[in-house]
Amino acid sequence: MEWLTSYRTMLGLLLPLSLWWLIITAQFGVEAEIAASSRTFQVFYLLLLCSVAIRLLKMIRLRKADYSALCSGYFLLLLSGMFWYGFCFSGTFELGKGESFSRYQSVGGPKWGAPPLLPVTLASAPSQNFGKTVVFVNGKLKELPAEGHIFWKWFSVGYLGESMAPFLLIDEAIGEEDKAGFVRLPLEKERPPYFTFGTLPHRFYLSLSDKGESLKNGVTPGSLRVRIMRGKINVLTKDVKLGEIVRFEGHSLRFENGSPWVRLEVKDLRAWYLFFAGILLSVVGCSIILIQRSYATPTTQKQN
Amino acid sequence: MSKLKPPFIFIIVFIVAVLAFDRPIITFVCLKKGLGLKTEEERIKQSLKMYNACFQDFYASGGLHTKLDEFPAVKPIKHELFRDIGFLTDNQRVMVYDSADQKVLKLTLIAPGKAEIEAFEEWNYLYQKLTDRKPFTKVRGFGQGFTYKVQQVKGRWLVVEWEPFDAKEPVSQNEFYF
Repeated sequence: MEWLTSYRTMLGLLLPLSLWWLIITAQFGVEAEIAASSRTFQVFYLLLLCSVAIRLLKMIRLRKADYSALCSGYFLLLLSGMFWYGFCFSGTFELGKGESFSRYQSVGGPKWGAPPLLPVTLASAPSQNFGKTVVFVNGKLKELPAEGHIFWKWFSVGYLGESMAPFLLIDEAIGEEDKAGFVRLPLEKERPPYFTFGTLPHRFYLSLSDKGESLKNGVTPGSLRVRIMRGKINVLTKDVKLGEIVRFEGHSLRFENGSPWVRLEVKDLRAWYLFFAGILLSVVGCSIILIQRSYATPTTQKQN
Repeated sequence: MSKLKPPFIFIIVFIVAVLAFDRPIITFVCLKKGLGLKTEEERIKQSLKMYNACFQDFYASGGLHTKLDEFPAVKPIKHELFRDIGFLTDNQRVMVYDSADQKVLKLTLIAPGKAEIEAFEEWNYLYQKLTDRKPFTKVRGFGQGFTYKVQQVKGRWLVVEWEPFDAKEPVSQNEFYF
């Protein structure tokens, strides 16, 4: 076990890790996440983590406060890297008024485990509350400023944007069983994602028509650009007015007033907390060692 | 000199392990630097051609499953396609697609085993009656930009997602139109 905690082993493990990281990301321009997904990198990283952890335990047992602080700093820095890659995540989710969180719209990570369900409910969108988003977080009412964040546990929740969700009805006009629902318009300058309705094979794309209307004022735009695709065929591309009935391939479509929705962003901050704690402990450890060295007096003196 | 040995041993072990266990990342880095890029791009383009060839066959045959294993696409894409064919069948129709041209505008390798392609495609199509296969529409044509997201699964490039986008037909210098 002694070899694993020696400085030479630690250096030996650290050197290829650093070289790999620098070459892959800086030289070849590969994303950090891809560089860290290397199995070899992960095994070496874990070995280094174990090596530092064993050394830390050894220092604690020897009651060396300075080196214990330094080792725990290094350990936390390495642990923050592991958390950043494997356990942390960032994601976005969308909420309409009175709607509670049910799923993420997009999520990056975590590699190991699943992102948590957030106890967030939207009380009011910025257009309804003088530019402020109001949410219930775990039952408590909180105001979310446009540029700021609110914190819950080790997560931060921020505001990304507001848009409208008109109410869309399909097949109501031709007397068949109607399909209806709120459809979220994309945020401004965003490419509209498609949605499907029931068993219909069509892809529906809904976006703002080029009439300069805003989606941030909490009012459903007077006309929307509707695009319907089936297979590779563009079945319909049309600016549809509020309440206007549009027919396509034996079906009908129209939209009515809807309600605003907001997109919120959630970030897992655990890796950052560990990183800053690691930096702090490393600095404290280094400082103690440097102070001790500068005030150290020689213990052995030649007696004349 | 002897003090320097262990780090070098670790570096050698690291390199050997990377070559043995991290081939996808090494391949990705090589492709990013242009090594073997043309071959891989050709494989992706061939896969896309195969996708469109199978696509035509499925529609023309009214949904026969004979080429289902050859079709380079993931399950949700296959389901969407057969939902459409089912819709046509319910309406007593068969749709005949014909791929007139496909020009790849942009091909980007985004991650190991993942790529994105922007292509401009020209298609002709007509509808036939399901019962006697007599056409009841004229041949229509269209040009449309498509973004395909492809992923390598067991050595094959499969289409995992596609989206239409507005694109103008690229002008080719060596093309004659009559």
